[in-house]
Amino acid sequence: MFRMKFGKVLAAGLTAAFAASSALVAPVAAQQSQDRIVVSGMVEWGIFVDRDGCMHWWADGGLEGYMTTRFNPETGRPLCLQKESCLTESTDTLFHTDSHHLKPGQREVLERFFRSEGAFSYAVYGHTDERASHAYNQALSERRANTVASVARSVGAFVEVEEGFGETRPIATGHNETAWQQNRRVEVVCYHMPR
Amino acid sequence: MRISFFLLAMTPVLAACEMGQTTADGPRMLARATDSAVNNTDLLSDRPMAIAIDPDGCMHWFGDDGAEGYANARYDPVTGKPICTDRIPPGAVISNPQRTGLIDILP
Repeated sequence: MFRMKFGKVLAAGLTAAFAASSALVAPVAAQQSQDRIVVSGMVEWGIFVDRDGCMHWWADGGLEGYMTTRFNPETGRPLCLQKESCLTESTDTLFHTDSHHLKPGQREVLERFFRSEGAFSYAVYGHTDERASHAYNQALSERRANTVASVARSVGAFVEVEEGFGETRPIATGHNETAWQQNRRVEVVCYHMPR
Repeated sequence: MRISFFLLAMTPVLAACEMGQTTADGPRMLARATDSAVNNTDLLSDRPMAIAIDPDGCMHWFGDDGAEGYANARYDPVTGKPICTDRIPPGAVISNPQRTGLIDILP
């Protein structure tokens, strides 16, 4: 039940909750050593998608409301829809191979981006492809994230988070140049505030 | 948005009726994903939520849906970590959390 494939979890949704509740009662009642489970009521959870694309369960109980996070059971992380990051830039465009120094003209492009975006704050994440060692890639992605975050700060933007993920979070799964090219990137998440 | 006093006064009664129902299999339905307030039937996703800052400085989506309130953490969609700041005072709410015309009473 809890080892379900992630896709199945997505598809199962509300109906699974109902099926699970009735299935739970019978086997547990037979084993006296375990806690006795009594289903006192049911909640028909709905999904609320926030502005960042992350999902929350919610239900209206009449004079009270309930809300909690929808998690990916496999990773334990909140379940968020794949939304376009505020900025995903290829590091081939920004940097020379193995370097964290910006190519000519790229500083100006980034400055223009952060000036026009005007978010409350930002997160900057660096990623590499899978070639070279894990440790090398980790360090390179951190240095590159720092370069981009520094440009942001130089034009008055607030960078709350700055992190390198090395090769650990690829967006393309292949082991060829096409995949590697997509995975070499700097990602900027914009924390906008509601008006 | 116009709400008559009668409808407002009836909200708890109507809500109580609805939630007292039992499902076909037995267990009582405690809550469901439709707004039980009488003056609107929109889904929660249709209206904007405000942001509330908790005592540690982390952000939460925050909405007053009339008869009930909702709050849950705001997460970075890439890492899943909470989003926190020291540039807004703890306890502050950004934008209007009130999403219905229902009168708000804080004793």
